[in-house]
Amino acid sequence: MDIIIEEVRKVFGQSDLQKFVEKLITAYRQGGATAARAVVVEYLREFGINVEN
Amino acid sequence: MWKIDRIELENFRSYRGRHEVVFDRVNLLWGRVGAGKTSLLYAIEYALFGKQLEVREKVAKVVDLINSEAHEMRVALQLSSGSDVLKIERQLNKRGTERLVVTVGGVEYKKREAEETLLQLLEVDEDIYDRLVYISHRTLEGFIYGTSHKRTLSVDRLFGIDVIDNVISRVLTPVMKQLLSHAEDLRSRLANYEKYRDIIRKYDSYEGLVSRLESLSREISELKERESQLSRDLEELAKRRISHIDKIREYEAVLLEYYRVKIELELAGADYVDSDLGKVKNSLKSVVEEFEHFFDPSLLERLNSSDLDTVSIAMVEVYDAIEKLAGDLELQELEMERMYKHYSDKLNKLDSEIADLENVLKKLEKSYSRFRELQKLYPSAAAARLRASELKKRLQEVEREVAFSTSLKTVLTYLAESGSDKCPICGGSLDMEQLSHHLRELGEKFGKVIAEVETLREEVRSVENIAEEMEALQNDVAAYLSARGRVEQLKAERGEVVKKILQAEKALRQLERKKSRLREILERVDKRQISEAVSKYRRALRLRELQRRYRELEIELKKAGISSDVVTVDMQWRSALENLEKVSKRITDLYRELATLENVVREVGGSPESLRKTLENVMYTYEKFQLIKSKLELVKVGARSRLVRATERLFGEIFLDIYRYGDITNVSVDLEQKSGHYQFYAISPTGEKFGISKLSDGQRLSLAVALALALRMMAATKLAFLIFDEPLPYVDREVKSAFVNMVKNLAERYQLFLASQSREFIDMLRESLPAKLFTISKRESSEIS
Repeated sequence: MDIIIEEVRKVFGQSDLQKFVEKLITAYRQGGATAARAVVVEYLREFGINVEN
Repeated sequence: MWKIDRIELENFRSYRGRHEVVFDRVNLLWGRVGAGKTSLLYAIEYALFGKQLEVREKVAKVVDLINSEAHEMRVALQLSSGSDVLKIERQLNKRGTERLVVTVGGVEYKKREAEETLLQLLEVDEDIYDRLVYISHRTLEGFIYGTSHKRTLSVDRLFGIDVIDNVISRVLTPVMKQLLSHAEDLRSRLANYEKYRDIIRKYDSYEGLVSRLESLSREISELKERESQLSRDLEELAKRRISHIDKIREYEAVLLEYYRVKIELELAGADYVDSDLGKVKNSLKSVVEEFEHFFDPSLLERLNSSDLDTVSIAMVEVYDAIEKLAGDLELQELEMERMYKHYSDKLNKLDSEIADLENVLKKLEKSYSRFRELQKLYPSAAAARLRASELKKRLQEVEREVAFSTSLKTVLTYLAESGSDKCPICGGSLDMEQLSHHLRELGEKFGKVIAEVETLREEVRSVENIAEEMEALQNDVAAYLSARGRVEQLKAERGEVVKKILQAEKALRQLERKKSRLREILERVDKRQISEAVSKYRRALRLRELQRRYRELEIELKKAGISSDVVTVDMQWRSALENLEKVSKRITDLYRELATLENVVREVGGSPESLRKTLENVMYTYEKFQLIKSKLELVKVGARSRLVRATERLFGEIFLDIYRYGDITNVSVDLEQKSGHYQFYAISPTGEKFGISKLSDGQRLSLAVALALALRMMAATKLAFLIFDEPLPYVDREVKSAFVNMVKNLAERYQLFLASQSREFIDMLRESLPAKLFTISKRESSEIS
């Protein structure tokens, strides 16, 4: 039972944003800020935005 | 439930060489700051997960766990659960290559299989381990001493909700700041694009500019190679030239002219003849002669001039005049064609109209002929009417005469038949003989008059019929005559039109002939040919002049004693010098251009379309992140509320288990509506409810630990141990004492590991419960005793 993920699904509904937030939280839990930031960087790259530096 | 039996460390962090530690139920680790207590506890985490918190949060790399003087490390952890034994061994070298072997029930697992086996057996991940197994002073202090907000953060940490704050504050907020800064940068770049618009336009587009920038570097590199080669050549030639320098300087003017002439001759190439000029000129002359009325009379004279410039100008003027004339003829032809078409159309129209009228005439012909026949009797209907009127008048007179004669005859017959000798009307005497005579005469006359009446009646009917018929035919006759007149008029007009058409045809043929002639000339000669012919002729003249001068200069140099070898070397030296200067100048120009373009690329960095698109995306994602942040706050509140409800019962039970003084009979936790902070309450045996501010530090400590243990039980891990790493470093003795009492109770539930630098605290613990003490010290490396 992962209450936070369940709450994310409840608040964000079934959406791309919900998937992204889930990915973000999971990455943070597994690899801290750096891993979560990598998820954000990847998300932004899809919009042609590079914030790596 | 797995407890730790032993651990072996080899070159792990501050531990150099191999160290083996066998653990008991309660294990106390004591040593000064930096001695290696935490490293020993980290080794347990590393053995379980292949990393630990600092590595996970990228504060340190996993290879940093290797002792600084070693190339590889090894950690072997042995756990047991009843009779089951679990051995975990991890080896790591400086290159980051790790070897993992997990042995359980005599079966060995490696790599991924080994990780999966561990997770399956222990049912714990790094996150739960760091929150609920490995408890440090950070967790407890915030709870005991912090404000409501700090306590909430501590509880969030225990609940694992802190991940939301961390995602917001450590990931989203900095990225959003970057996005705003990125947007500002993009706006500035768009403004810079306007600033450099004129420069960019020279290269068609920003992409064109970038492409030029790339080619510029290659071009500069090639030119620099060429510059080096030219410098070497120049140096070599200068060495050869120096021995003749005096002579060269003395005759420098002659030499320079010689070189100039020579180069010009070389560039001129083959010898030129003026035959082209003659041909072109003659063609133009023939046109001027043929169309003399159209040209300026002086042109012919100028074409025959001996001055090349005059001829050249005249040729161009003739050519222009021919072109103009051809254009005029073209216009005239168009006009004539228009006229020809106009008259042709008119002719067609006239023919059509004449044909229509002739059809009308054909239809009216019969009526007209009949009218003409009647006209032979009477010139017009009016004349017939007049004759009819005269005849009617005569008929009336004759009819009156008939009436009189009839009356008279009646009277005479009466008198004759009555035998009376007197007139009954006037009383005069009557002569029968005379009366009979009159009767006879009257009878004769009556018969004639009756015949005349009949004749006149017949005549009147006939004339009236003629008049009626003529009147009926009058309209057709008028139409016939009108049509006939119109036909005659149209035929006359048609004759004129035919004449015009013939004239136009003739004019068109003439214009076509003239045009054809001019076209032939224009096809044969054009301005470029004239210019080339003149230019060739001029070059031929120049060439002859150069050849003459070249021979003169050769003789002069020979007389001066300057050999052809010296001339060649000097010429090559000058040429190399000139080329070098040109190349150097070109390189300078290109560097200047390069600097400008690099500046544009640095300050603009993209086409306006791509910059605008990126700016839109930046603002779009910024707004998305803002939305995520606000929704994550809702997630946090929702998660707090659910976790509070889920842990409430267990929290109370565990608290009463570890806090056995009887002055608190229950505890509860709630969420403050407005701030969303956790509110902890204790309930006294009398049912009184106290907020956390009314509780002692020891009671608060018990609350914190009870909450952690409640969550840990909910997480249902298979670990039977609990680690306190320096749980209360700066607290008073009373709190420590409370903690010691709590630990006594905890020891009944868990295998305990407790690390502290406080000897007093460690001694308090040792006095209260049986525990194994490990003293950690450090000289060159950490040691355990």
